[in-house]
Amino acid sequence: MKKHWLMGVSCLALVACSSGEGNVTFTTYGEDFIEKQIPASAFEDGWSVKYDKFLVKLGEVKVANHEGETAAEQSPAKVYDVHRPGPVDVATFNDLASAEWDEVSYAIAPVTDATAGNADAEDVTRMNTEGWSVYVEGTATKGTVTKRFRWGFPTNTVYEHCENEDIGNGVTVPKGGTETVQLTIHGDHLFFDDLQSADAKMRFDAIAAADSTGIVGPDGDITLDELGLVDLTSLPSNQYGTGGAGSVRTLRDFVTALVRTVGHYRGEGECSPRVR
Amino acid sequence: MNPLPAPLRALALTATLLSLGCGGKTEAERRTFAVTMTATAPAAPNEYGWTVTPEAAQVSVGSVRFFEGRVLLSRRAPRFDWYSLIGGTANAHPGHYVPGDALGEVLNVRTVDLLAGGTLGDANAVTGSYGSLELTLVTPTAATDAQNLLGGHQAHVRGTATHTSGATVRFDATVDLTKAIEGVRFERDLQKESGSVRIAVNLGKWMDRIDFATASLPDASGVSTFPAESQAQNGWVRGVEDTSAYVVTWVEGAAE
Repeated sequence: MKKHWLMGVSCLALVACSSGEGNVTFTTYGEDFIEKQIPASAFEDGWSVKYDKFLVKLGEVKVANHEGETAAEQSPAKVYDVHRPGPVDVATFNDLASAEWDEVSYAIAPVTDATAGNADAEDVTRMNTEGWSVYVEGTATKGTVTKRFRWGFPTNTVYEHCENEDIGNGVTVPKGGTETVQLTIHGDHLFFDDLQSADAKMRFDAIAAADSTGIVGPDGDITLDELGLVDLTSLPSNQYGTGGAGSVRTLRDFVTALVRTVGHYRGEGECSPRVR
Repeated sequence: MNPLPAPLRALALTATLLSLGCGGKTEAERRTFAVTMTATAPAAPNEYGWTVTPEAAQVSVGSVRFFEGRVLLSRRAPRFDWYSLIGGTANAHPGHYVPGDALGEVLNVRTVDLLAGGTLGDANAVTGSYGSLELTLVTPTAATDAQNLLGGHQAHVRGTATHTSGATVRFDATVDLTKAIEGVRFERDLQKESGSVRIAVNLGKWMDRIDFATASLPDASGVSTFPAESQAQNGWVRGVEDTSAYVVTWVEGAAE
């Protein structure tokens, strides 16, 4: 497999001065919520969700520090299906200066020349052709009712200043060893009912009801176009709050905004999502 | 990490201030600054084509708390889920704003005439890197709203809305929120410089999502209200909750 990574010139100086070198391996993982299911106990309204596919286009993985020095960078994007058992390797950077690299970032972006990570070739082709960065496919179930969704998103987001409260900012490269860093994808975020509140709940009722709208009517398939017909002001005013996010007026806008929050760092760790 | 309940936040701030008074090791210094509130008028038709001209706008403001946490950059603890019982991994957590440490607060209850502007009082605060604030609207009392401008509600707007089609609605609307407005952006490294904080309510944002055609039929005096389950009331609630409707700035040079 052809590897593309750029080593920062400034890194050479660091290596020369450092007391050792080590390696960093980045992986990606969809956790049980994406690999298995999001149980009904996690939802406020009794739905459960099972993904059949969760494709993300990961790239621009960068290890740097707050002084602007770059240790390693891998720009080309690859498509991963994080529904498949993981974690899956994304990139390995060898012989980096053993130091605290406190600025790690990556992107989920709709580039059109991504190659396969662990995704099928036809999925990669479709993601590139459609200009998607994220594609999810699955079913939601409540009692005897099942709804299907197949949604592709062209969102372009850079996840910067990645940190994990328990581990620290960025990554510390060990001397003579390899540190593994997981780019964790949170599949439950697509169903939050608030873009900002810490009290956000997971709901599916309003999304399921969207299947009743539009020309086709209820057919068991919830499309993004149907979500686009649901004005948030038609939903209870204590649900689907938008915080300070501008131009989020429909359920489609809302879910699209939530897609930008799926990228995380080393489990529960957080990055600053920057919209491009 | 879920945000602390309001009383605990107040306690945390008090503890911070007390530690300073007792020679605490933190580098933050006590300071105060005035907090004022005003409004900006709608500058364009709203999303439904209504041009709104406010004739009166009042709000009953309770606590205003300043935090270091920046919007969309958060830390939080994992929430309990059944997967953890069987050794699974699944990280569920709420939204992407956590206020972090409290840096200052105004605890007065004031009724503010937004069109005229008014003061909320002085913030009891410390120096530090500010990221956001929380604004709490409260039910006014006879003492805090002696003229009964709000009619017992937290916010009130009266005015005229004119549609691009020519339709006109004279309206009188009130709203009561069930929770504080959290995560209003205010990013500033605040030291001992003189100045004050100004919170400008963008009335255009407040009114942006209201289809005035869904207001009630006019009463005998020709004024419509927003029925509880109407789109107008729903859009009005969402507008008041919209944190981007509150533009918070530091005004240099005002008396501390």
